[in-house]
Amino acid sequence: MTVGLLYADEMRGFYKSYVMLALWVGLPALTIAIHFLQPLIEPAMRDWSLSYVVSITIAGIGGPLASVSLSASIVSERNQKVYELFLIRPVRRSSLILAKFAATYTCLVVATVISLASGMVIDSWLGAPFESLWNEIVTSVVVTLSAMAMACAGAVLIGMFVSSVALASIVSIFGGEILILVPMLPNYFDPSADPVPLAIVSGLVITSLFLVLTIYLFNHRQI
Amino acid sequence: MSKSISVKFDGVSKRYGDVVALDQVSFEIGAGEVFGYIGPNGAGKTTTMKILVGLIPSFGGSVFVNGHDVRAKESGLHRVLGYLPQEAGFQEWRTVDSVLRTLGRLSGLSQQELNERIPQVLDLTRLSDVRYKRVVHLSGGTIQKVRLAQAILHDPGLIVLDEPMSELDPETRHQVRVMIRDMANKGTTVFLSSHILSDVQDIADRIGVLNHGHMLKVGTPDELQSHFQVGNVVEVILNRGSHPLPSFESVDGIERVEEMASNRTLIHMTHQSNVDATMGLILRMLVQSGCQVRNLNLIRPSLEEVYLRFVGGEP
Repeated sequence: MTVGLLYADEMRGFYKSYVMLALWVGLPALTIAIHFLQPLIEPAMRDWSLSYVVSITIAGIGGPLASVSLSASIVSERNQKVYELFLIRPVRRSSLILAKFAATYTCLVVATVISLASGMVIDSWLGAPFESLWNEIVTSVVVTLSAMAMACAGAVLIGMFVSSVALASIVSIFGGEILILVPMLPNYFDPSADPVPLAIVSGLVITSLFLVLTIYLFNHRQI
Repeated sequence: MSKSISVKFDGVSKRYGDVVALDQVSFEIGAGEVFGYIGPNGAGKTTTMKILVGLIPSFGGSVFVNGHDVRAKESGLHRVLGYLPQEAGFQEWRTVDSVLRTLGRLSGLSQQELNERIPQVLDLTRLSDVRYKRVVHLSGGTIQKVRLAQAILHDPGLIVLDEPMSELDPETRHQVRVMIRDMANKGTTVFLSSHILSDVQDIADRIGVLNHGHMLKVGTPDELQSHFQVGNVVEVILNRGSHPLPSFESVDGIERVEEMASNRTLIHMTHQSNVDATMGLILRMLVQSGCQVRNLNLIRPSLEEVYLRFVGGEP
């Protein structure tokens, strides 16, 4: 129940502080802009469907975006001693961490879905053949969502133990970029390998590992 | 856990690397008592309070609330605890109402209870006008009142206040003092630290003096004055043209005499002196010397003087 309350509170915070607006409107707008502008630089992209551009764009920025936004907000709130008033109540420290992770991840997943859906709608309207790239789109989205989960969990870990917003952002960008490569490792050895199974497994394992480690350390740490 | 909550610190120690924040601190706070906690900056007051409320999980010794170790999950402490930290921020997007609603829910209040309780607490802390304003846009004193409001929102049985008067104007400080006394009268146990020693003196039943992580003394304000051996002072003001004061220097029970401006003299008693007997002796000597006394006052040392004498520094 406490996780639910904290999760709802985090979502309210995202809404009130316009994070939702930035993600849910800004991200689709960005991908649509890329779709129409990028071919001017890269003529080969002219034939790509918007859905495909959306999926690879989000794959490229999703992990770092998740990581930076979450770690920076946690460091900032920690420095302001926001959590003291939560933790002196019947709230487990793990609930605080899980709620933050879940809320951020939800926002990013929704942003991904909205972006992709927007791309598909526009593709249909333009008559672009996104069906032919469906497998690539699905693969890209699964890999992205997995990387986002890992990046969010890594960001919670960084946010809880780094004191500077700038340092947390830098470490998170590096971490997010590295984590997004994990599900793609099979393709490094075998270009025809399917990254989806590894993406799902690594997403679950690494995310869980990061969260468990954060909770353990946070439980033994002074606020 | 009932409303009557007692607290016991038993040999509590805390180190930060080589720095000893608390060293074998032991004291008890009785149910319904207002316990003042004073000491200079860095004495360990905030560390003591954070250990009690569970924000510092690792420390030596034990802390019991109604006999339950605070480290035990079944202590139930967090359900009856109200805490006002020395510094605690709020997310930028939060309004005063949002602070109270979220923290109240986490304290176990239902929506219906919150709908009744929030207006009461806002009225008590005089925050009704800023209920829907963002906290970050409020003044320091008003934010302190928001911190206080969240601490008392769920009518806790034990309230821990770390420097509650800081940033408050004199009128609000008076209101807060009255509020704390009212809560204690209703059975709430209050653990209060402050640098404003007169505030502690006015409302605390007992006071603990902490310095460099050591508990120097626990007692009532009178006991502290006696323990720290600060003597009383007699103020004598003579009329113009009066005979001069007789010599008090060699009188038993008098430590020294201090001549002030405007015919005013301060006669410092030794801490062992019997106040009534020494006052009587001074009065007799004044009469016998033909002094025309305009005013004769017994000045008891304030807690601030006791405190400064003992910790040897500015509060």
